Amino acid sequence: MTEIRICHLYPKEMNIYGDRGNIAVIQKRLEWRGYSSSITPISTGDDFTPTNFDLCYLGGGQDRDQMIVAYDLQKKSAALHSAAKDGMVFLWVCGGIQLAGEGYTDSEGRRIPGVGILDLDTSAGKSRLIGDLVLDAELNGDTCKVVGYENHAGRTFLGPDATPLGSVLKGHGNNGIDRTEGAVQRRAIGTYMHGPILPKNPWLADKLLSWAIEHKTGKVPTLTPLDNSLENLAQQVAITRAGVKR
Amino acid sequence: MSNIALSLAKASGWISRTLGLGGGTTLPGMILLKLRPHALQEMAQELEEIIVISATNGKTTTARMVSHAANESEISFVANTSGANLSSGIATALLQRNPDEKFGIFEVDEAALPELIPQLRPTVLVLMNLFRDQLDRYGELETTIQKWKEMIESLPETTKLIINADDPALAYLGSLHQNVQFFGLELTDYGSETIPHAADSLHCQKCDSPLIFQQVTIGHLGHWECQNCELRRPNPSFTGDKINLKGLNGSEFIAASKKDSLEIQIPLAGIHNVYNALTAYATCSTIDISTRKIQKGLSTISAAFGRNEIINFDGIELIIMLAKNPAGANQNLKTLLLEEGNMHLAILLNDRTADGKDVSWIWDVDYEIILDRISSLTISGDRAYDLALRFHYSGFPATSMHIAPSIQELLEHLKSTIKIDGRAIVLPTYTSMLDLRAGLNKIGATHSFWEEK
Ligand SMILES: [Zn+2]
Repeated sequence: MTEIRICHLYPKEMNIYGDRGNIAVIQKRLEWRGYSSSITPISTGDDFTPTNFDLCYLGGGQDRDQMIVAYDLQKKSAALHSAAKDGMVFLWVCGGIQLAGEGYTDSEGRRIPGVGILDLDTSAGKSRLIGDLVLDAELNGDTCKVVGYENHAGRTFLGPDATPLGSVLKGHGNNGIDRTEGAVQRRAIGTYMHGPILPKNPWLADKLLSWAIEHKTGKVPTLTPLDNSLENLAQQVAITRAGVKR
Repeated sequence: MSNIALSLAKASGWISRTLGLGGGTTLPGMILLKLRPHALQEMAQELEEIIVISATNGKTTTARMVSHAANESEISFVANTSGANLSSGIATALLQRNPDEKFGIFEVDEAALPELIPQLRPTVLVLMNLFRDQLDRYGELETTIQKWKEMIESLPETTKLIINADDPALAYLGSLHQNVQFFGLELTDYGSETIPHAADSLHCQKCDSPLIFQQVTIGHLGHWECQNCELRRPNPSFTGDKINLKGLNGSEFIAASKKDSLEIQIPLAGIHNVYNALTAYATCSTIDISTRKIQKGLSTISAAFGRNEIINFDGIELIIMLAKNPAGANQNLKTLLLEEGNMHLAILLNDRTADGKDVSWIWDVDYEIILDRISSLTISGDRAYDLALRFHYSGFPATSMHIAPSIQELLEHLKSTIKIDGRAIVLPTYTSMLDLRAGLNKIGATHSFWEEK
């Protein structure tokens, strides 16, 4: 049985938006298709070895914890860059997308460094952007609606090397101005969407899995279709409740 | 005080109840504060003793326990109605106060607390815990902690502070005040050595280093110390020991202070209620209520609105356990594990303002521990599908869950699934509990919310 190796970065510090749900979806959808998976928590002070993993997850945290994590991530920066270059899959959510970028300038003008695996930069806005988020998302020319919830003070703008995960149909997205949400660069995805994001968006979950399997085996897999009726129904209910027409 | 403002505000309560607009538990106070912004301060000054209790979890039950013991002691007091814990609810209570009530016992919302304290000027301030709750409404836990810190720093020294030693952030705040006493649970078999995932306050408030736990009781509460600096759990003056949890039948433990030690029996389930009772004991001791009265007051307490409340629905017993955040929900599940046999479970999830718009917290609830004890699972509420996915991805077969889009359908489904004399455990969020209650009220199974005092 092929084992997909998942690294969960800072699960103790960065977990405030039900991030365990994203991990559960990745694991279950692999399991239902006959793949096994392992989860390795990597915390402050631990080494990150790029060749040990196929997928790397980082969730959202409180400002104080995010600061602690930001400085620890600097020590892992070289290893993360080499992993990204090698095609490892990244899903970095909320605080994660900010840490994946060049850095974050907080409301008092202090600069918190990022690791720069996504070409983007963030600074604090005056208000928090909170509420339902619905996107027209696109990955490798494939499109799908993606639905979630956002709650962030950061305003993120993408550089030329990153493409947005989608365009905003409802909500604020990266900055509330340019209607973009998230960022994609190679196989690294950053997004403000939690909820958590993966349970109601099986399309996105399967994209990540497919990349992770390819990273492990070197071959593009044909994923066994799963019964997504509950997921799709949940997504449709959320889209309708957000006031977006199909 | 202006008589017109007073009579207008008082009349509004009667009008809103008469018209069936709601409980009338907040409207009079809201009107009064609009007409007279300093009314709270003016009315509070007339009291001799004011006890304010705040926490994320347990403030309603604890305030009830203290009130019960005060009743036993024949203390004449004014208290706010459960849940009406913002300035409007407290103003309403004070407005309707009988002049010989010289004590005030108030539960206060944790976000509203810093603003209310300078107005109420409590003689006793009780801080129980801070858990992650409704990120969209309260913001981050750290923000609340910072506001509480500023509040404590400007507290007059005469205010007696009673603080949970087991909550690392609160214990640190307590150390900033001269006049403080701590309470906490001794080592118990119900504790564990590992922190559950998604626990809060894992870093030292003083030096940011990770905390080490010798025991964890709920979330991040327990016996802790900083890995780096000298900060550690203070020695509590009020302790809870020899805890025995009897599932839904209640709990017992030994409460002790330097002065005395007594056995406390409560008809409420779970270690969180042991914390509540210990807090009530510490509070009552501080205002010199005798141990005998405390014991009696606590043993006869009935469940607060929706907290292990039992409602008879056409021969089926509905046990309602409010679950509004992961810490509370996980405690409920642990209590259910102490029960024998399998259970019919109904879970209701709403995302209205009072529940929190963000429902991601359901992924931090360990539903996995009860999966093999479920004989039927019914899911309802505005966010029923999110819950269904939560169970689906825990491995619970989607075909075994029933999704009921309305309260009426939920009740009908329970009736068709459960035999007469059977029982169902209902885990609702706050507004879904109100919906459920309204549905049950319609068929005469329970009374209205505002009849509760
Ligand atoms: Zn320390």
